[in-house]
Amino acid sequence: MLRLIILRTASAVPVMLIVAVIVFLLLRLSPGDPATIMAGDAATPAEIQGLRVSMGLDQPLPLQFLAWIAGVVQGDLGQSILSRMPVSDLIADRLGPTLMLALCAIVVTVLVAVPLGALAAWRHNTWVDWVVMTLSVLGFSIPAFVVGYLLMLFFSISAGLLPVQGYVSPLVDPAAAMRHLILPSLTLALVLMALIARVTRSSLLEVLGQDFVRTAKAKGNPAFRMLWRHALPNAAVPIITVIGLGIALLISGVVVTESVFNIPGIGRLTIDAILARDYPVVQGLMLFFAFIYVGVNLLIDITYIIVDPRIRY
Amino acid sequence: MTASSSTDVPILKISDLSVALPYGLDRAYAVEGISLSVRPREIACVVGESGSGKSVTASVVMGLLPNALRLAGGSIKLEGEEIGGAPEARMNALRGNRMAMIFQEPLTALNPVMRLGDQIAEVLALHRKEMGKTAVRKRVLELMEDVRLPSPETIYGRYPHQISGGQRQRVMIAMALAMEPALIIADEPTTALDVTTQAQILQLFRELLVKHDSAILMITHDFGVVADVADHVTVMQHGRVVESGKPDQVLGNPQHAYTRELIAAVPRLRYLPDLEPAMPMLEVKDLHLTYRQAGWIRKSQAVHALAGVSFSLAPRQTLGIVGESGSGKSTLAKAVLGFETPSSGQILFCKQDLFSLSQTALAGTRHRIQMIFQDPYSSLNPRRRIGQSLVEGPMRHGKSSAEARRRAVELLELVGLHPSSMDRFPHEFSGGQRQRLCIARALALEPDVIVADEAVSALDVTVQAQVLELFKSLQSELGFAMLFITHDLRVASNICNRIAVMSRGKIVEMGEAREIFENPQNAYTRELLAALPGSELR
Amino acid sequence: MASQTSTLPGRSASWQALVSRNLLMLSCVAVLLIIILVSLIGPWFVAGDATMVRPRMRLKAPSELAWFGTDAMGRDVFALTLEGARLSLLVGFMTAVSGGLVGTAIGLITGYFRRLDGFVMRIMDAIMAIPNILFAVAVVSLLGPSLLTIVGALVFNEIPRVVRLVRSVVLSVREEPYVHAAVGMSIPARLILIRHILPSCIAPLIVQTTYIFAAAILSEAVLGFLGVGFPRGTPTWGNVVAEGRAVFLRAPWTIIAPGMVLAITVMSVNLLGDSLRDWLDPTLSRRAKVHS
Repeated sequence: MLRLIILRTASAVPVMLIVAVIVFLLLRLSPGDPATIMAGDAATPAEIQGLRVSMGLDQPLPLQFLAWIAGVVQGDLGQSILSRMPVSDLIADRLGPTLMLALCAIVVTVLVAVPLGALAAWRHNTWVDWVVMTLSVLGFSIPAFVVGYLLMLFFSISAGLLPVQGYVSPLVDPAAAMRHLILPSLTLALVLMALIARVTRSSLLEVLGQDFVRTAKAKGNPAFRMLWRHALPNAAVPIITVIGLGIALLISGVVVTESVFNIPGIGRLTIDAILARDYPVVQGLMLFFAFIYVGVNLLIDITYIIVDPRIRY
Repeated sequence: MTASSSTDVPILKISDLSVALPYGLDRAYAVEGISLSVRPREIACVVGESGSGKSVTASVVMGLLPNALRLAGGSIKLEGEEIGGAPEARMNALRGNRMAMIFQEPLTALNPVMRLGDQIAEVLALHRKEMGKTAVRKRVLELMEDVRLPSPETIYGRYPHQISGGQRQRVMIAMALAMEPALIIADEPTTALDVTTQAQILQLFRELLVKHDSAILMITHDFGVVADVADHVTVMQHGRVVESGKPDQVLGNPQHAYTRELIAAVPRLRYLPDLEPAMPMLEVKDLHLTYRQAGWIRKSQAVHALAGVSFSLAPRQTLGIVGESGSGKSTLAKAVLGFETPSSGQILFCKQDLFSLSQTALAGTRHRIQMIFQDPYSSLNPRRRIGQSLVEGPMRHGKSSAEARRRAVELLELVGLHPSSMDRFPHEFSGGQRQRLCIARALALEPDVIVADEAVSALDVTVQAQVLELFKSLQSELGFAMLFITHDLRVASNICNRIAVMSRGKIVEMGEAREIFENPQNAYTRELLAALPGSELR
Repeated sequence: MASQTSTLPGRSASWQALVSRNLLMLSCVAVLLIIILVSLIGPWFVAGDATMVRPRMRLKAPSELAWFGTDAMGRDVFALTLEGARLSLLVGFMTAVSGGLVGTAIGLITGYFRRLDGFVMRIMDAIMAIPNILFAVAVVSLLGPSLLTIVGALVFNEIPRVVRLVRSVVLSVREEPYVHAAVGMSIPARLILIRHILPSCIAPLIVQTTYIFAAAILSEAVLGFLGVGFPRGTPTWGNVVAEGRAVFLRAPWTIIAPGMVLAITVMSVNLLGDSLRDWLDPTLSRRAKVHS
């Protein structure tokens, strides 16, 4: 088992390396010279050239990449052009709100979507199934910003129940923090809920068609117990896998949701950095997000190796 | 054997039962007006070919009909209680408790992520809620002991994929026995098992029947099994009962034409003479094939799929390769066809070593060895017309389109199909017809050797007999050599001149067919022959 | 026997039966056709130039004069939405088609010739690990917004999904006996791929392409919303929405109305994909499965 875990972990390394190459090339091959931007409008060509040399931009690309990646491995993601702060510090400063938001969204998703999907599968081809599936398609189709603004319009502006925008740390005022988080988490969770409900339904339907379900019935299992004890554990693998893939949706969603609700998280940081052409920050953030994605999926796979008896070593 | 007196109240009594098929299929009822009964301590067999409605009969008693099927009339009485159309709650109380079911494929019938012991224990948890945890565990271990599972303590914590097929079926049986039900329904319980395992399981049924005082309704397609275990036989065709009675009566003196046809089609041991020694067409010399589960971290594990196999095959000769699952017979077929590369050894085709040929030379030679597979449904590209499938190969090897089509039509007639089949799609044909199409496709390339891997195993007995006849007549007309791979010794005896018995990657015995069957030298061969069901049918 | 009295409805189906069974699919197609048609001919029916600035008409609520109201520059939001549909749908279409084609080519080759498989799939994993909106935002803002960069950025992220899909089909179909039979007849790999393997990929590909189409329209809107889509002033759904952000509290229709049109379009495409899948996938067919 340990061997499999080590192997699986090792396989994440080349993936991260390729991500690094893509991110590096994207930013180096795009027009616009970092040194020119960094030096500011008033700089002379000589100053820019000096900056280029000091930043290592006169080196061949492979060498630049090696230098950069060596730093990254040691946790040095470079320095922001705008604020002159280390990128890793910038990310660390802004991580809190985003983590809170993502966590709430995942909890809401799992609590709502899995039961809904299971219900739809259990009542396959009835109006329940139809309603759940329609809601799911709706969730896929409405852009997150429209949902965000709609929620804001109803709950904050018309009804005045919840704050319009902004973020309060739960360390400062837990109650206010929750009130500020409700709408953003719902906005963020919507597309994930749609996805998870769908996958729960379809993988349950597939499991319900398998032979061992017939065996479970032949033993005298009532329908609900069969769903709970036999079908769901077998459908768990695709559901959890999709939650892992859903991390990508979550990250994209964070960028939009933080924009709509004006939350000072890393989503906002990303957009600000891109609009300001703050290359090192953009680079660092893309690597960071990819790392999160690969890491979460790695954790999920390792969980399977430990939990699922069918995976052998 | 345990002939029970006819005054006993039947445990199961089905009368005039009909099950409706959804509108729009080729017939209105899956079963129509059938009646049968099962008495205590009796094994009642229902025999029939695919589509006879025998499995539907099993499902309807258990209340496990697929959604599309509907109970249309008649009555089902379990121990005197009417259960046809009983409410779900009542059926749940009866299922697993007074009646239990064993399925054909134990691997898929067991929950893959639940420990085996827990799966047996669940039956007790459902129906005997007052039992404590330790009592349940003790009972489960007892049951495992009863069905002769080795070291029950270990198997209790195992998962289905970790034990053998025979052991899985024993777990299923233990599960069925847990509540000592009055009736056990077994749907093809030994079909997925090897012949030696099948013999053991059938023996087990017999013993358990006496010990646990149950009755068994067994669904099967195999007259050998019927002859061995049945106390009562019901023959079904197209959803109706055509004949029923005591086995010696039905098997010995069948009244209905269909029963006679079925029994006549059961392959019996019949031998073809060996041929005069001739120049071999195909020679296999000391073939080894080792699968290595490679990895730079885990230890590499070697699986010896083929461990030194040698034989030769002459024109017009058929060599049967028989063995149980895992014996390496299919790997051998794949190696001969070039789908597996052996680790060492030679395959000489017309004196040429296939593995020393260049890519282009191989492409020019390879098509002279053709293949026929087990599953007639996936052997033809479902999206291409029969004509397209038949001319594809010949045109690749230099025939003109017109020439290839003309030959394809001839071949269709040769295998007994109408020339109009050229423009039809595979789904329009039955299993037996598709197998004929596959034979035609193989023959279109004028092969010198045909490798038939379980080519008749998926077919019903009557169709099987016809296809075997077809092979024989085509071989005498066209003169190809054939490597006939099968798990079925009777089928092999019908078509092979020589037989090689394989076990664990080796040929343990090889010789003229009659010699192998009548005077086996090897212990394993003797074991295989002894396990053949239905000795009365020889 | 019963076989003489019953007919096979699947084969002798009249077109009415066909329509009633595929009602959902046909209504999706109808909605999409209407949207496409209106976006093509609509601008001629809306009075004046949609992009014309009308200071007196600023932020008017929806009325019979301007169905979706007007924006901060007094432009008719309905007219803008119609104008925007063209470019948004074009982005969706181009992304779906090019993603489908490139992904299929890579998937077929890596799935059948296993030599490249490990390497190519690691690259695909890496691309999937980069959050797609983030990547698109970065590419478009770095290389400058244009149809080419936007479609290119969106395609790049969709390719791995197509590759994985096609590859999985190839991996299972290549083990089918009929493919083995073709190999045994020395049919060249190129022909095996085209004749025997590609046809099995078509149905799932069509379905996947509709999903890409939907996702691309959404992504374009998000790019616009974040302010990095097509140059400001170009009418696309994303840009119309982006214009509304600043005035949302005073004039919510500037976002809600075009957002709803966008949602209806995307939903029709998604539903079309779902019904196509049910229709094309034989494993989900409604034909009763009857055991012997």
